[in-house]
Amino acid sequence: MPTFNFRDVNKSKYKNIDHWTPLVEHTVAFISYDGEYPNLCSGTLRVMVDDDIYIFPRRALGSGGTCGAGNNWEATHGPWYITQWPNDPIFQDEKVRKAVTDVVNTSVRQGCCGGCA
Amino acid sequence: MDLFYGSTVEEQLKALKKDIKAFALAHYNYDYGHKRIYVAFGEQANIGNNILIVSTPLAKDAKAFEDKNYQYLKHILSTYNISKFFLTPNFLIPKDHVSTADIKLCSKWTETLVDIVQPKFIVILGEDSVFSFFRRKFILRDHHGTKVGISPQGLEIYLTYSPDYYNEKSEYEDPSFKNFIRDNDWTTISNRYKELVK
Repeated sequence: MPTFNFRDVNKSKYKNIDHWTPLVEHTVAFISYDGEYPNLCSGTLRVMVDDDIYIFPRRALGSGGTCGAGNNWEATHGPWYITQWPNDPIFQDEKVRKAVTDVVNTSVRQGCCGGCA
Repeated sequence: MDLFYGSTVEEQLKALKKDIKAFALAHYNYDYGHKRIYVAFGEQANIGNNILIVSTPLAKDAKAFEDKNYQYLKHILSTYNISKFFLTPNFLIPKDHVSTADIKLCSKWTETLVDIVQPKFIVILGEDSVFSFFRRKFILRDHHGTKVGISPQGLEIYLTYSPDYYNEKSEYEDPSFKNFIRDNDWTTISNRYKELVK
């Protein structure tokens, strides 16, 4: 019969389960965004991460563009950034945050729409 | 987690079962009484030279490791010449509805079992069994038949479908597609088995 030596708990190979490293990236997909002119930046964003749909708080997106009055009323466009995240530990992962931001930028037309000017 | 489970495998498993009984009573108010507790299925001679298969929970009323799905799993294993294995459910306590939170709670026993049986690599059956080793989810349809994770010491984890997927037959599902998936996944696993298990 196989026998075991006593092990030092500090030298255990499997002391902490969180040390197991996933080799697979998260799957992020865009579902919907209901913001539109004149309130493009105040919609509700829905994103799917690993087959689970997450609903972001309202006005979670920030527009990288500006609008204002120079010689004429004008709006500039810029990439979206996300100001509020759903209350789920999955969004503490920086890779997930970057993937969600990328998918939003490719799926939602860039603001500012100029509606607030 | 207490890793000082005696010196022999029998003593370690006995201590593990005792701990699980106390855990079941404390967290789930389930009293085993004189019932037997089933932790793993396998041969003791294969300890240190095997693969560990983490499967779906045992059916509450069925005989341990003898229901339809386990029979099918044994059929798959014999088809692909995998003889040195240990089989453990991802949740060890009899319960009607097992949630992912339950599996996460039970993951420390799976972890201890890995320490006891010392597998060469691990095969996870089904999407929920992933929570025995990771805090996050892997999409089964995207990552089946692949290496999804690794321990700091290089112990690999493979993911594949559980036998219920093959046993459940509905009209709109193509059985030849399921057979293709089964062949694809288990060929990968058996090739790795041939490399690592002597």
